[in-house]
Amino acid sequence: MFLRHTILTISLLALACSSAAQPLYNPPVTYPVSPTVLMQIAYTQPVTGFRSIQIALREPVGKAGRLPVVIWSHGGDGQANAENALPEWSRLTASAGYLTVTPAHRGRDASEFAAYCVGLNLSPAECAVSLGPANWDRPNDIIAVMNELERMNSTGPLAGRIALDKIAVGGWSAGSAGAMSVAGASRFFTATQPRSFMDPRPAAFLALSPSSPGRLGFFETSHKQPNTSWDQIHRPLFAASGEGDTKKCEGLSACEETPTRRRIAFDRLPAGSKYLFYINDTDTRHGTFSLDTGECLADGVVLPVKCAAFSAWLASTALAFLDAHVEHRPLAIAWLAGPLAGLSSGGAVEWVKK
Amino acid sequence: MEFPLTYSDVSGAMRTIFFAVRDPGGAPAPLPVVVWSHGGGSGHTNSVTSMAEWSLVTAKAGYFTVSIAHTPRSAASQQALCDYLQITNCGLPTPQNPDGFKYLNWDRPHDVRKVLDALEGLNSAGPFQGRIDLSRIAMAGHSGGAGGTMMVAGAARVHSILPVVTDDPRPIAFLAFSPQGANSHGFFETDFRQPATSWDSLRRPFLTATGEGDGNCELEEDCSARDIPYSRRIPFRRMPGPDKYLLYIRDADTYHGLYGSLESNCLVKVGSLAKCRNFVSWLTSAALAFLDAHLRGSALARVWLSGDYMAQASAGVVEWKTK
Repeated sequence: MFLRHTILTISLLALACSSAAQPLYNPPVTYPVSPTVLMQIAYTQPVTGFRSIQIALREPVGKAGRLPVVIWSHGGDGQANAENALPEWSRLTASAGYLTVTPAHRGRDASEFAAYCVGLNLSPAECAVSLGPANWDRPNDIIAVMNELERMNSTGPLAGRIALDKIAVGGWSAGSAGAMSVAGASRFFTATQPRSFMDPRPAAFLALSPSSPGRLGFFETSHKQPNTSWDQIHRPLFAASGEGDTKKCEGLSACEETPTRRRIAFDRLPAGSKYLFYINDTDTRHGTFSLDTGECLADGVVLPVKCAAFSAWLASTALAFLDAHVEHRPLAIAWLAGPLAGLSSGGAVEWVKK
Repeated sequence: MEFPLTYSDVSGAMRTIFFAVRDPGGAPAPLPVVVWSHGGGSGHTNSVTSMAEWSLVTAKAGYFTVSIAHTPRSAASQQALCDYLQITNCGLPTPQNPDGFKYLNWDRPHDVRKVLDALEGLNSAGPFQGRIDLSRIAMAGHSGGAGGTMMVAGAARVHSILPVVTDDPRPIAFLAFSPQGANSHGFFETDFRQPATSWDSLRRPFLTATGEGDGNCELEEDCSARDIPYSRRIPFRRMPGPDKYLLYIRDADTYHGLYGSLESNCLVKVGSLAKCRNFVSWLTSAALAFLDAHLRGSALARVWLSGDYMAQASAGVVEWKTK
């Protein structure tokens, strides 16, 4: 234990003193990020009808050629303002050269909620205890964003500039469930059968603080039932969590989510370009994986340099994943294949590949 | 042979339980011991039928086998226990106890402690005098009994607010079939600024077994406080090495009861006698190898445990992990 703390302290000091000294992955070029462009998009869901949402576009200024894309899905309750949805992740990927699109998964008003219940053939009582439309809307919103990207690539200022074969979808918390759904995870929205929102267009996925089986409609095996939610996810996926990544704990043993339960999502993924980034430090929190250090700094008990280190390790490894599996950069591929994701944190990060 | 055992519980009330002993005739004494604790939330009164299948397996393998019936509590007795533990809504669902407080989660390790005391008495006089090797005891259980087993091994558990430890130093090895995972029935893991888990202090040899069908939650349910196959693997993941083993059957034809009652009812549930016999042979083989290694000091059993023989024997159906 002493040795681990010593190594961690040395690593933190190194990070604080010299950003060039530690072996974090850095993208080859970083770009200024354009002012955020907010747009409204409208689409019709196959089951629940018309919906409109706001999206935020952030562009790497000066990047030539076709732009790879990251779509970020936020967590928590519905949001109306896309500029405030996962802004840290969105700015990070834009500065790393990715056209970044961040939808605000708007909550539904009463009539839209009723349309959701009718569309899924749920009585009001069933609907009240169901997963709810926020989980349904996320993957549909992400798919709508990809449709919009296709339209934008055919006409307007970004015509011909969007690399539609280089799209990644990422999400945090409930947003990771949306990303997982688009990757091919099946989930129970009603008691009858699981639904999949698999879309073939994204090349890679990031699931930050993923949901465990038994939460948000995800499931694993049971007697005479050999399937899990994650069986059909065959594209590259990066999952991240840590020892403090719980949710809504009412006492020690009563949480909505706990760290190793979150790891089950990774454990259940089929092998092949799957990565787990797990911070073995209970100074992490759920918010750590949104890259918003506000929660980490909030009560003043965690050193700011440590909060910054968590973000740096996570951001570096996520960018290596994107550069490897979306941009196919050899340096990033080599970095992911080696132990540097763990070593760069002084051993605090458990780095698992399969 | 069945024995009653009465002791005064924490609330001051008298509690009577029963335990059965199976003495493998002809085996040279003193015999190593296996104590079995059954599952379920409502208790048993017949110790002869409690964990009977497993008890016969270990007795036939030469272990002095003890099977406990953790008796039910009356409503008044449950309330007295809740009052002592300061559980205000006894029996009602709470975040910590979504199915209500299960009093046997408290009683099991205390029952085990009294049974171990009683074994000392049995070994000093009467028909079993000198037959029991009190320095070579293993504790084993299924489901709720696995939870009790983990507690006797030193696992911390929350009954109301703070975690309690009800360990006993006498057993030298433990077997948990279908154990509870983190966030289930008072077992816990890390949180922000909270680095402890229920299993940090489990230093003695421990075998865990579960499999793909070993859940107790419906597919579409919120299972965050219930047990599903991979959450049952969490105790193994969280307990420190060495001498820790996980047997995981990668076949969804397995089911929760299989790990407690072996072949009983298996044909009805699985539909293939051959498959049932495979399941049982894998479970019993691993359990006996574990016991032989850690109670008898068998070098051959140790080699078997450290190798990949189980995966070979099961053609890869069984995942066998050690640490």
